[in-house]
Amino acid sequence: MQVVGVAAFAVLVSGAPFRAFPVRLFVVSALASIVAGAACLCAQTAHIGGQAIPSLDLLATMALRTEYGHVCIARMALLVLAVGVVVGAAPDAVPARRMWLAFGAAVAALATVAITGHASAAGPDQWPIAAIYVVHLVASAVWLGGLLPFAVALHGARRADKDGIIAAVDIARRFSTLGLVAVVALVASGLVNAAFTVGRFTALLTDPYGILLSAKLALFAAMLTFAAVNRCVLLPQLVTGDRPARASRRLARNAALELALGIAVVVVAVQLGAAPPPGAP
Amino acid sequence: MGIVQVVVAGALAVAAMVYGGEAAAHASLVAATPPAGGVAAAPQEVMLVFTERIDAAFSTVEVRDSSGERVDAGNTHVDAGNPKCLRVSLPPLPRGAYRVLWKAVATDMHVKNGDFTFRIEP
Repeated sequence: MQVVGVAAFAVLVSGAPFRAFPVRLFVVSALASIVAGAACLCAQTAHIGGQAIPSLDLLATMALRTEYGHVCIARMALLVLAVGVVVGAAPDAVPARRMWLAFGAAVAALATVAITGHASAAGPDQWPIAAIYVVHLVASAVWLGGLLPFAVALHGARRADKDGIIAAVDIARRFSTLGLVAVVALVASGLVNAAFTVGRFTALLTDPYGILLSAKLALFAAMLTFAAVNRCVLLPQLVTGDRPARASRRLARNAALELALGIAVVVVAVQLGAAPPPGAP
Repeated sequence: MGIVQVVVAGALAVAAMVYGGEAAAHASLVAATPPAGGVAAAPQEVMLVFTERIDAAFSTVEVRDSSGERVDAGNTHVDAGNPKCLRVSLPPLPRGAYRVLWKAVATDMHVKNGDFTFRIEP
């Protein structure tokens, strides 16, 4: 998610010429994802094979003879591609088309998470649900993953001089618009997913899966509150207020708080992934 | 770049790799031939149908006789026309009680085990 968020921030918010920071953060995030992916594959293999440390034969079987293994390999290959197209240039001289290609590869890598999920296991008639899930994943990545580079970019533009304020206003406006689009996509895709998965409103309060979903929704509402304050209160202060440097610092602080809430959302979402939906055998 | 930024980036990347926001559901058995607790005359195979698509690489179906000896052909495979169906072939078997032990690994890598018995009465 961080990989997609940073790439989206680079190509859609800060724009070319890209500064060194988002590019370096993109590479670090992608490398961390590759290592995590390899670790997940090993852990899943050990779990399935009943071994504490999976043998090479077992790993080869998982990687080469299972759909799950094929998708994991493809995901890591896409992330390697994303890193490869970016590191060929200096961090502050990455051509725009390379960053767009890296963004596309990162989105494709994130989309593979839906292929290894329950919707795919249920069969082709559930693939529309998997597609909705991809929208949900990418939208959450664009918003949540973009908060860190947003906060750092605002911090870097915190100078009270005219150039610093102009830079902060431009970044804040663009990220606010991107965030709005992401939130609309998140809400729409989340409602569709919930309708298919939970089914009835009462399950949100009575079923373990529904209770976890309710917790996720509450955290999401808290994130939206901070985002609304940023867009409706702090952004106008940044543009026309008499203390724009203070507004910029508060924007950066709120973005960090949003990020902390977003991490909590991801933690709950991971628990949701392990929980059976209401009515599942 | 500060260490905090690297740690946060890494944490989000790791979280994304295990992100399973979709619901998880194990492959439950919905139909079996011969049926659980049923009687068959001369079954040539055991066929199990589940609620999820099954991955053949780690799924197994074993058939054992009343003394615990394995009697199936050891060729557990997913049906070519139905990815939710596991099959294993049987040689000609004498009259008696048999136990089917199955381990179904769905394509999302969730595992479920189960067993049932059937009788052969020619």
